Amino acid sequence: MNLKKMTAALFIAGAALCSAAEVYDLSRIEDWAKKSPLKVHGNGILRATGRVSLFSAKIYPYDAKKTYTFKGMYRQLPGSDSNIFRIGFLPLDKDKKLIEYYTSHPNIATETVLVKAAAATDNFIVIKDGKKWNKSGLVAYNTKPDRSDLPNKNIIRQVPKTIEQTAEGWKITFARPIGIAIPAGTGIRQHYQGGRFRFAGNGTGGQVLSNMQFKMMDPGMKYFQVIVVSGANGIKPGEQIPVIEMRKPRIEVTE
Amino acid sequence: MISFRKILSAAALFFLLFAVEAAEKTFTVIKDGKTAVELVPDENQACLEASMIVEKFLYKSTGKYSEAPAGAPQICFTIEKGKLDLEGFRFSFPSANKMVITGGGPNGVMFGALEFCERFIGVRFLYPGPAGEHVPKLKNLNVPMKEFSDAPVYTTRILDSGNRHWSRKRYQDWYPFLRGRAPYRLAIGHNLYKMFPAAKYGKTNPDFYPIIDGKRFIPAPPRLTVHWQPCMTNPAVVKEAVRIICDAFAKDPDLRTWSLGQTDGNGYCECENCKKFYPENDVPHLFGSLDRSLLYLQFCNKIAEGVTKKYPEAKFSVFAYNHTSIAPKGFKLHPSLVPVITYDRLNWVDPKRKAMDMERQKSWSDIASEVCWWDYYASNGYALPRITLHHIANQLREGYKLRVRHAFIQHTPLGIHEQTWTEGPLAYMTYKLLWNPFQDENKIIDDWCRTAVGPEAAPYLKRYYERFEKFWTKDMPKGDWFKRCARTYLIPTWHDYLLDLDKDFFEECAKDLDMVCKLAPAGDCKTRAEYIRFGFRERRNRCQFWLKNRYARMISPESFTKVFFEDNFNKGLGQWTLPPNIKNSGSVFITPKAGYDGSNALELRFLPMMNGSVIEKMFKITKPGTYRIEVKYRSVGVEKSFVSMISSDWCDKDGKSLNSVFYSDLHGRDMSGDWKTMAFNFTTPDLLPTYLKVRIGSCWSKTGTIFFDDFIIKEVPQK
Repeated sequence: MNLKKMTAALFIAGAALCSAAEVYDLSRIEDWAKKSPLKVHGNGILRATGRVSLFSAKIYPYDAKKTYTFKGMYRQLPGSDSNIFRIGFLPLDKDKKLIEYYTSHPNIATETVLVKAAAATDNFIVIKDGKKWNKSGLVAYNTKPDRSDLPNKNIIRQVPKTIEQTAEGWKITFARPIGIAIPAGTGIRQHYQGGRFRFAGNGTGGQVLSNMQFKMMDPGMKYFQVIVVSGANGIKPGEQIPVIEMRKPRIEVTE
Repeated sequence: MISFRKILSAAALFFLLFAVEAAEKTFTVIKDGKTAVELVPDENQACLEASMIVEKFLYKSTGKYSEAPAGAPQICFTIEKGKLDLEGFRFSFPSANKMVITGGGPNGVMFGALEFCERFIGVRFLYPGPAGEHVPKLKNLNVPMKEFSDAPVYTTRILDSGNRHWSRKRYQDWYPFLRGRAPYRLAIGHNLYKMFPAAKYGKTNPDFYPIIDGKRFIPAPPRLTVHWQPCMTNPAVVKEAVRIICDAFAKDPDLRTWSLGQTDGNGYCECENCKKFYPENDVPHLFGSLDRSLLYLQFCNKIAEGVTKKYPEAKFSVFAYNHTSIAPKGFKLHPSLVPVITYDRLNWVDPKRKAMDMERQKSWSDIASEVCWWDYYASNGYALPRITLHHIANQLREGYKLRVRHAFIQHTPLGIHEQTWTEGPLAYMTYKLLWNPFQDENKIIDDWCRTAVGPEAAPYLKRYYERFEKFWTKDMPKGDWFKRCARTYLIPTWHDYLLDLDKDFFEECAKDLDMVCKLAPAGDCKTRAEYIRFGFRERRNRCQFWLKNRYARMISPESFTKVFFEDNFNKGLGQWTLPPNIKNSGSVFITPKAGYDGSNALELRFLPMMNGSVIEKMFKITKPGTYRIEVKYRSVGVEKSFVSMISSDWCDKDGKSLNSVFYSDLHGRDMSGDWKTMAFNFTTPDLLPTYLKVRIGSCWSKTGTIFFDDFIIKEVPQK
């Protein structure tokens, strides 16, 4: 082989390697947590019966610059058509600890500062601008407008009971004392509440889920664990016990 | 010695026997109540979904989910692009143990699976909802091993139901089973206003917009999305359109169709360049509008030329209606352009109207390789179901000869006030004929009726639907309503076509349906028969209610002398309440000194975060009568778009609307600040006692307030 041909071959091989997506294979029983009820049904086909939550055996690294796609096909067998199945993951921080939804999902319209120092025994805070505040969000403090504080575990785990404009600022009252002293001028905002899992896709009977992407997920997310939930609705009388089927499940990671 | 003739006879006999054997060869799918085949889809979503359709109906047919043992015969699902039509499919049997359902594309393989279910299992999707699904219970199923392929004649088949809304979901979930499944092969709709929104181009490219009455018109409410067209001779507009379309095609490899449908209404550019494409004799054409076809089509041609350089397979729809109804003679239409001719083809019952439409049709068929029909069934607008089965069948067959290959029908059979399916096989048959218009519609209708209600009841059901067809195609055209509706579409909400009904129409229909219910066998057929009769009764009551109300509306206010209920809000809200689904009472007040005579008034205040408010009250009505509701209102500081409203709805005791009668409402839009009166008359429905739900409401403003006072319900005294 002459040098020209060899260089070309190397170049092609290199290009192929560079463009190849990284793949996290989930198509074998051992790719899932030990006690999972999964059974192999065929080449790359896994099934689990009943109301189940299936976790991947491994924890996978996450890079916010990359795109992650659930490949393969996910569906329920007939008989439990109205039931729901979900495909997603648990977001984990650098210490592989769960990132709670309310630490990483800010309501950015509520970003403001505390205008008056709050004592731990106070059941209210006074903020500069409460126009966009609502009675369903939790309250995060030590926030930064550029959101570099996220995930922010400094959370008053209460929702406002009343929101009123006063001469000093907007007074936000809670049902109980806030439990922490916060100095005036501290950044503060509301955070949304949500569940522990982040789902990339939800399906019902007769539906096939495939090519579900997720990227730019929770700030601070460095790892994730895959979760598949089946029979999320419970099992209705007369309905067959739901069976979730995954065909060659895997995650493709692309730049 | 064996003669040649004998050898020939023996050979013929051998081949005959072989042929008989081959013809009788079958492929076992269900054996002893269990699925005997393994379903093997290719590794793609469409094939898996197609296999799931077959799997689901095998499951329903056998009553249990069972899987074939290892090594069982297989039904494979695959896609073979290029050889079959995108939506076509083929059944083949490459070996004794293998059946292959091949689709020309994702929809093709899906339709192959549906054909399998209908042809072999006997499944029928009669009407939306689970009761409309017919799945025979099978113990054994042997499929003849005969190769078979099929493809649609009308490549776009849309019986449109409006946007996604809970009230239409049942229908929208159903029609994919009748092969009305997206993605559609031709994008249709008003689109130019979406391509050139004023918010995007208004400041940077004002030259994109038309000159109207000597001035540049930059679209703004209330003409943001109607009554303007981009300047169709500006090369920059063409260039930008080509860019927009090519970008969209590049992003989505499955998207290769685009609508160049003009903005609804008028608003064609009057610049000197555009005017060059106006006809020399600029007078209204056959359908009454000024002709702008040449201007529009030269613009569309240029866009098509630009896009097809990169995407030669692209297809564009162009509207043939209003100002572009008639194709310009001798015009060379780009082959990728498909004219969409809009007309309510029930008009064809009148030979003159049909001849006029044919003249238009011919003008387009002469210059286009394919044509699309936009038709109007407008089902939920009509009180009397517009069932014209044979008329539609003939029309679709005729359409084929006129090169019509795409159909978009404004159907909307279900809506908030219409949840009962009353059109029988109309949508079912239309979809079947759009797939292949040369099928015998009688066979389709017979099959539908037999499956729905059983063989003995079927002739009565068929006769019931024929009564409707006779009315709509023979009796209605003789009436005034049809004469008044000489336009693109007949007006469903002018219900005076009901005046053309035979006096015994409903009685005869009721007799047919009573027989249907009597003869339908117990089980699904009986359930369906009763459902059909229930739907008929709802519609009959609605029609009769309209006929009664027609006279009620004519009664002068002075005749209503007896007070049934009155409220001047001086004692507060009383029994007026917020509707059950509305929690926020922040905008409802009783305001002192704001009333008509200086006393209290009901105030519905607009708040920035709410789009209006409403209160309601229920009245039990036990006796038949004719009533009139009146209320005074006065608006202060409201936005132009505001509406004050009063409505009446007939309900059961739980407040659930009765669909058998009309919902009436009246809107007030006076902004003078003076007191005005809203009032309307109505009559009671047949079924009593019932409940009248009256609502007073406001909407479409973020500022201001509306005061209401002197609410009164009066009745005509009984003699």
